[in-house]
Amino acid sequence: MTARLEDADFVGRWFRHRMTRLGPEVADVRMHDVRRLSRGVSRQTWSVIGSVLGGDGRWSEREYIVRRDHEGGSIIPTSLRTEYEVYRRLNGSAVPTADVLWYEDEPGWAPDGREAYVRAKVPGDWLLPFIADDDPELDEARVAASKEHLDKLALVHTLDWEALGFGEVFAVPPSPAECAETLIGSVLSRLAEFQFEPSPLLAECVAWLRDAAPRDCPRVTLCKGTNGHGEEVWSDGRIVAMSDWELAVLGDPAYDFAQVQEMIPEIHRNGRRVWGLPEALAYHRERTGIEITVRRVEFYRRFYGVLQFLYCHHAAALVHRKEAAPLRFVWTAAEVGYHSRLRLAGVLGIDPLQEAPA
Amino acid sequence: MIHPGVDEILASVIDAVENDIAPAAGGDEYAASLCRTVAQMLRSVRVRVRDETASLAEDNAELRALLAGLPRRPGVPDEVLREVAAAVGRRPEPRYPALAELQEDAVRLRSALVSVIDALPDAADPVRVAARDYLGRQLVRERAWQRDAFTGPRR
Repeated sequence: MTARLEDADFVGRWFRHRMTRLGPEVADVRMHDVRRLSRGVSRQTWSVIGSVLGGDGRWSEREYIVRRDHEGGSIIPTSLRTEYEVYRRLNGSAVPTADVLWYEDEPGWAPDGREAYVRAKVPGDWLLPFIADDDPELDEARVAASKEHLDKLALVHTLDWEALGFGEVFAVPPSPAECAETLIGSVLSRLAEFQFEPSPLLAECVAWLRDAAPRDCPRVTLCKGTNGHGEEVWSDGRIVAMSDWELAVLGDPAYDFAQVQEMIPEIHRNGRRVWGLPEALAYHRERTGIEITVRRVEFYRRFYGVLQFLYCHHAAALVHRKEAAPLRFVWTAAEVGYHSRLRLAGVLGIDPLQEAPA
Repeated sequence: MIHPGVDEILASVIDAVENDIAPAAGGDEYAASLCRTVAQMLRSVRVRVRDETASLAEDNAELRALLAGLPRRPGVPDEVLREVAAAVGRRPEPRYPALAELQEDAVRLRSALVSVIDALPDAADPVRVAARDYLGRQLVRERAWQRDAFTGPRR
């Protein structure tokens, strides 16, 4: 049997074999289009389109997403299984996510012999073309989108993560005050699993972060990690699915505010603040009761350099072990890795790219 | 960071050209042909980067020895002998060890610096301050190929 993900015939047989996972009413499936999507670097994302026969005897078109590691692994050093387990626990909760259908690790059915999981495709778009546009006429729409994103982050931050079993997936800070220290420790433990080059810059930066680690976090929450524009699925002005949980942790929700992409625009009109981080934090506090300070957000922005170093070094380690590693891994290890070191240098107040005065 | 080095990068680029880009060229025979040329040229570059310094040093040494024997031969005009003597006498200073040796040296030195940083908890310690200054200069040294060489979209 050919078990290649590119092979629509195989994928058709695979989905028929797992038909009960597509829904109790599904009586037959025909998959006719399999293609790799270009978005995303860390792992492979594939689209599978086909028809399913419902209990009413009618065929309807459905689209599914298959996620798996690259042949050489993944850039982010968290397992595919962890990503799946995050979705599985979130399904049915207040946090909107795509439904995961099954995790495929059965020999003979795992495409190309690599583990994969399948989830439903949520219709919508990740692109908000107006979000970075400074036209005053768009202020209202930009603030509304920002609030929608904050509403969804608030759902993440008020989730009962213990009841949903996230303590089995992520390191649990012993107390809210120890969120930062726990995060630093867990990242360094992960790095130690594959680090093959010493980094004095990282050592300096970690020493600085440990000294500066905030201890005033009031609550341990589930944190999404990468979030904001490009990471969530939007439809009719609402987020219908939150995607990309690869950097999710249990910790200080300030961690998420440090990783928001474009969704908290700084808007000033006629000398007056319209929107920005302080306003977003106040809005979030109204919905969650959680106090997040700008200082803690700044700390986690600095900490992000360590995360970036972690995944760039992971890519470098995979490249180092493999002849002809995937080119995107090499690029991540090289250029992005250099930028991660610039970010670490910035934490220490070093700006090596500043031109010397003439 | 030292890795990925030139050899790892070129291996990956060749693989992408041959296994991802060339198959996508479809019926465009010229594009497919160019992919083959690119991959083979990069194979040559990969080996050349690795071997050229040592090869040229060996070649020059052999040629220098050959030319050094010339002045003792009759029938060679004086201006040619002067040119030969000038060429033979002007040898470049050996400046750097082989890259692989430098990389191993760097790993040892940087590992030692990590231990020093871990052993000195006071960030204001003069050694830590000097280490940070050095780390800034290290980034400046790599800037040309790690940052400035990249132009335009990456993906």
